[in-house]
Formats: sequence, structure tokens, C-alpha cells
Amino acid sequence: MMAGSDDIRLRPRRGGALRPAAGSPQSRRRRRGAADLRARMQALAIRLALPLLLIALWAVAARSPGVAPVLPGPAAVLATLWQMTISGELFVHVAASLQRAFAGFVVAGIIGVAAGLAMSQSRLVNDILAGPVELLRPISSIAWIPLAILWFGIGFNSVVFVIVASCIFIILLNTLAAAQNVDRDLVNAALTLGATPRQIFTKVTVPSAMPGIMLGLRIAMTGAWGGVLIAEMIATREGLGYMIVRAQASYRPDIVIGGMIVIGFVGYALNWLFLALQRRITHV
Amino acid sequence: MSHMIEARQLTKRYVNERTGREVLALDHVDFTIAAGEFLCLVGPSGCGKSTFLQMVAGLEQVTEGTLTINGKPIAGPGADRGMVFQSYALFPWRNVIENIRFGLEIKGLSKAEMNEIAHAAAHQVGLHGFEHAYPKELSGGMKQRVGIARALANDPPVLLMDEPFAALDAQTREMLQEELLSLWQGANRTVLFVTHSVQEAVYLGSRIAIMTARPGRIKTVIDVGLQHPRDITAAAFGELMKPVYAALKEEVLKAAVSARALA
Repeated sequence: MMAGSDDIRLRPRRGGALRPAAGSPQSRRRRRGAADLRARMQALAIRLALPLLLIALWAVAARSPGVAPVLPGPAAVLATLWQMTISGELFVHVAASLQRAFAGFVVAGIIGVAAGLAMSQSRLVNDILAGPVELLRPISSIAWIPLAILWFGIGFNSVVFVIVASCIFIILLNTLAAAQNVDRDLVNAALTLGATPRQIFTKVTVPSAMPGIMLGLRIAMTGAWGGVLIAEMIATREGLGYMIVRAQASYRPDIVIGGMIVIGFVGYALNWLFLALQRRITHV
Repeated sequence: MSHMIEARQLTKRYVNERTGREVLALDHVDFTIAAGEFLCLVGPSGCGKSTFLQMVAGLEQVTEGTLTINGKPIAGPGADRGMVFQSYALFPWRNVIENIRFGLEIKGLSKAEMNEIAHAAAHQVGLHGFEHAYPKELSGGMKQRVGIARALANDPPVLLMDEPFAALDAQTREMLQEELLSLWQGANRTVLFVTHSVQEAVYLGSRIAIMTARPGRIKTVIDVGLQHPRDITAAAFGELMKPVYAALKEEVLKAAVSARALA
């Protein structure tokens, strides 16, 4: 059920396997020479090549006759984004979306991790929850929207409900898998050091499952950011999802494209922030 | 205070989860490990020597017979029997000192006491300067030093070691063997040491128990009359290895024959 315990990264960790004893402060210092700088610039150039090419193609395509009304160029989109930034409109939408995504993510995280841990520890809890989880899991987040609107109306609660539904299961199942696959030798080591079952849980099971829990949370965070936009397209009056749907209705492709760019960058930033936080608190 | 371990008619059966067949791992074993001795347990693969060790640790249940420590039946794991694992079994989210401190946290010692004992244990096994390293940053030999220090920090009267040096290179193994001996000699501690290696057994043990192929029984027990430090190149050392090696070889061949018969 886990999407692999390795980080899903678009690029290898800097240095990665090329460097002997990666991570030791000495190795990092030694490599910081002129050759290293050149290698870094090269790597940066390679990473930026495709995005720059796509932007160039976009600019060229936008100039061709007949396309202009549906495909504004990069400059026009940037100008629109700039205006919306100055007017504060963009901020309102971004803040609304982030707030809902965060609220839903936290609720799903607390319930998902707690339920996953409980299922890993108790046969009874597992037997009670496993069936419902497997039945509810395949229902896509968009299918929860009608029910959410019936129950909570248009607004914050509806969107949060949809986000919780869309990301709780991946958290729960990753937590469960991680807590079930604790290395038997670690448990035995703790037992021979005098640990009680309760201490095994808090001092071995939970920390040992932490990487798997974090992986589930990170995947779910991306899911929450996707879910909030879907929900906002239908169930709200502000937020990035609402913003681009309204722009479509009022025929503003510059806002639609600009909104998508912002969505992408915020998603990227969220993942980056999460990884930075994870690296600080876990050492595995 | 060191402890004596006694097995009387000790039998272990378990059901192989894959085949569903019942396996007789230990068959009416009668055996005593004297207080303060360094007992090496050798035997062919799958003979039940690790199972025996796990039963002493309290990690495996007794099927029949009795297994006692100072006269009291072993009911479960406890801090009086420290264990060192072949896989090291270090907690990867804890650094060296935090690993060594684990048992002391369980005991509920104060932070100052814990740190004092943990640092002393780290120092004792040559981990000075590595206190704040994480297991993934350590070599196999250093990891096992942490494993040993973690067990010793609890000051257990019995130390159980399950092929602790099997995964290490020859030089590191020799170094750790020597350090282990000096740790044992000072402390009046009973050590039960499971190994594949005849040389290791003769180098370390006060006595060597050789187990039969499955179902495991104690085939013979050999006293090692040599003083420490032992010289593995000496003629007397070689003479002692011969009977151990012969007994083990006989059982390894038996195990191979029965494995072929099953296949």
C-alpha cells in the first residue's frame, strides 16, 4: 500500500550516491571548490533547460495568428498576475485555499495517524475499521462534494470535509503499513532491555513507523492541495479553484493560466517545506 | 552477582508458518551454564542454537521441560539478560548515546545518571568521539560496539550474544573478540555466545557446547583449559580446535543428508 519508502523526488539529492560518505561535514567542505561550482552551474542549466524551452515555445505559439485570444503569452500572464498581486486579490484566493487545505490536512492527519496506529495495535480495531476503509477509499474526492454541500452548504466546512475525505485514507494506510512492519529485532532488543508493551509502542513502534507516516502525510498533502481546488470550483466563492473557474466563465485565459502557475508553485513550495521539516525532525 | 542457567528436558516445537508442519527444534535438552562462565554454543545451521538463546532471553516460549535462571523459571524477557544481535538491532532514529541509554530510560534513571552511565559504556567499548553519530553513519564494527554498550549499560548479570560478529570482517572481528573478553573478565558476568565459527568458540569460550543437527540436542561439551589471552597460532590451540571441529563436521554432514532427504 505504501508508495515505496524512498522519497519520491524529481531530482536526486545533491551529491547523492556520487559522494563517498555523503552527509559528513568534511566531505561537504572538501567538495566546495571551483570544480564543484562549475558542476553545480551545469546541473542547474540542465534542470532549467526544458522549462525555458517550454516558455519560449509558449511565447512563440501565443504570437501565431488566431491563437492570441485563447493563449495569452507569458508576458501577458505575468502582467495579469502582477496586477492581481498588487490589488491583493491573488493573496485573498491563495490564503483561502491554503487555509482550507491546511485545516483539512491537519484533521485528516490526526484521525488518519491515530486510526492507523490503533489498527496496527489491536486486532479488534483492525477488524472493525478495515472493511469500511476499503469501501470508502475508492470514492474519489469529487464524489464527496454533493454530500458535503448538502450537509455543510457552500463554504469552508464543505471544502474541508472534501479534503479530509480525499487524503485521510492514504495517511491511514501508510501509517498502518509502517506500524505493522517494525523490524522484529528492534522490538526484541527493546524487550531484552526491559521495555513493557506500552514502552515498545511509544519508544519503538511509533518512531520506527515515522518515516512511513511522514511519507503518507506528504503524499496526502499533495492530495489536499489538489482536493481543495476541486472543491473550490464547486463549493465556494473564493480560493484559487473558484478563481480559475470564474475566469473561465468570464473568458480570461490569462487568469486561468496564471492561476494554474500559482497552483503549481504553491504545491511545489509545500512539498519543499515538508521535506525540509522532515529532515529536521527525523534522522532516518 | 552472576547467574546460573539450567535447562531440564527442555523441548521446543513450533509450527512452520509456510508449510504448516510442526518442527521439533529442541529435543529434551539437559544443560547447565555455570555462573560466570563464557559458554560458546556451536552447531550446524538450523540446529536450534539461536532458538535456545531466544528462549533464555524470554523471547521464545518453552514448549516442554523447564528453563530456569538461578532456580526461577524464565517467563519472559527482562533487563537481567542483555542481548546482542547479529543484525545489531540499533534504533536508527537514536544516536549512539541515545541508543546506549535506552535501557536506562526504561529503568527510569535521572538524566544525569543516564548520561554518566551511557558515556562510560561508550568509552568502554571504544566509541569515544562517536557519541552523537547515528547508526547509518557507522561501520559494522562500530555498530556492534554500540550494540554491546547498549546491553552492558543495563549491567545485566547474563549477556546473550547471537552470532554478534558474524557479519564483520576478520580484523574487526578479532579486535571485538579481544575487547569482549576484557569486558567479561572484569565483570563476573555469565555469557552465552552463539557462533558458527569453531575458532571463535575456542578463542572465547571457557566451555564449548556442540549441538546436534535438528532436532537440537547437546552433543558434547568441551572444556577449554587455555588461559587468556589465547594464541590462535599455538599448537595447543590447534589441538583444541580438532575435536570441536570433528564433532561439528559430523553434525553438519547429518544436517546436509536430512536436508537432501526432505528435498
